[in-house]
Amino acid sequence: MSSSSIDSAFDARIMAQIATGDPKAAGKLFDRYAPLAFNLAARILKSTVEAEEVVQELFVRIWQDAAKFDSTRGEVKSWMIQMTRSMSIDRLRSTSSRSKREETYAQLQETDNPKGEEIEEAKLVKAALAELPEDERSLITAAYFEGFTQSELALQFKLPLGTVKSKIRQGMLKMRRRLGGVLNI
Amino acid sequence: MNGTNEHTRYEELAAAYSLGILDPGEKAEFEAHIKAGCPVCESELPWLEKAVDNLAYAAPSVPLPEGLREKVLARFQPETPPAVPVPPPLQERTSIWPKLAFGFGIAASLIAIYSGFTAHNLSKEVQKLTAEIAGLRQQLTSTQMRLAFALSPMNEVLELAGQPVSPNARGKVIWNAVQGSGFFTAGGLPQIPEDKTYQLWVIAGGQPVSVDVFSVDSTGAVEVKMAGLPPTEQINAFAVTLEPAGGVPQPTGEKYLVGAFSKI
Repeated sequence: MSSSSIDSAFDARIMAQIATGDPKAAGKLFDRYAPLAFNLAARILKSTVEAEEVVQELFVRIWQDAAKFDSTRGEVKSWMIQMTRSMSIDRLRSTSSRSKREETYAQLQETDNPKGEEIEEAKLVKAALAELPEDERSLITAAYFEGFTQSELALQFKLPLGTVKSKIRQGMLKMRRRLGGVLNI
Repeated sequence: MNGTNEHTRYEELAAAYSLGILDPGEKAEFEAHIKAGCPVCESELPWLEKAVDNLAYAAPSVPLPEGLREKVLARFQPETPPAVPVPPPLQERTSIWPKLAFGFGIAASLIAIYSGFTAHNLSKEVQKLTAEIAGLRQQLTSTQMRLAFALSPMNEVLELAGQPVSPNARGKVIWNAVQGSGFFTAGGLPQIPEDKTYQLWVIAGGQPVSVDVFSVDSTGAVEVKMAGLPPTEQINAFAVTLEPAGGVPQPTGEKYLVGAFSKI
């Protein structure tokens, strides 16, 4: 059994316990994934205040939907990441105070981000992204964290739409080659 | 455009699709392509989606706000007592009688304050009682479950013995083979530091699977509800280990209790 499938089975068991109303299981799920969800929401929204709201909303949805979660159709971690990203991008599109948020978030990163506390997955993914050519990395991160569609990316980066598509695919293939062996991609 | 070039286009769409950045028209086109059955794209999407999920780790690490855990867990209340509506302050009701004499107004205000205070106390009392009823219901359900277990012919029971680090500890698991659920009880377990937790494991088919993490009371006793156990014929043993707070996917710490059908 790979460490990834062991983690998935562990998470599925936690979800089953949450569905029975077990508060300790709820705490376990929070400890495992709230930091990841918070980092993601804060990066997308560039606001820790809004990220905190997203994380609260995320876990309320999990409490509500735990009984419906089907572990044969997907992993808990993926489900949580996708919900966090989707809720954050929805908020990003519905609010307009982006520049103000960016300032606060940038300050926070400079002052509060302790070095050396990153988990292994974060180090690996950041290293893989850092190895991509600048244009591929910028397109992929803008697509993932800024919520731009590919047409918006083409406008933003002043590139033909076809180039945007092919560079994103090339970048994703390189990420797979770099991470495939270690993150079970 | 030949078939290969045409498919290269779909492969590019697959990457954008997994990132959720396709425009509506192309998204519909790609979904129709998948629905029509394309083994290449079907094999591409799972790894692409996994790679996209992993991009979440590229977000800078930001400390969790203080108190967020408590706020989130406070909203995890399976049986939250219903909010009791508090009646509006009586002062508002008196405001519809502007022609009342000043003295009567003072008296009415005093009555209103007193009534509001009483209503507030009553509503707090009702909330407290509702919470107590919810607690008693939970106790009753738990007792009924234990009674059902005690009477069921489908029960399995296994004793767990203390280990060299915990010679005085004893434990027992009792579970229903049909439902795959039951209880674990133990006593005599040593007190542990705050950054550690006990973790209960079921070993099934030779593979340890986490059942739950727990702490013990001041006497070293605990009772844990178990659910989702593997089929009984696959269970080799139960064990308790000491692990970092929050638990781990696989056991890493010392064994404190072990009970096995066959030697592990």
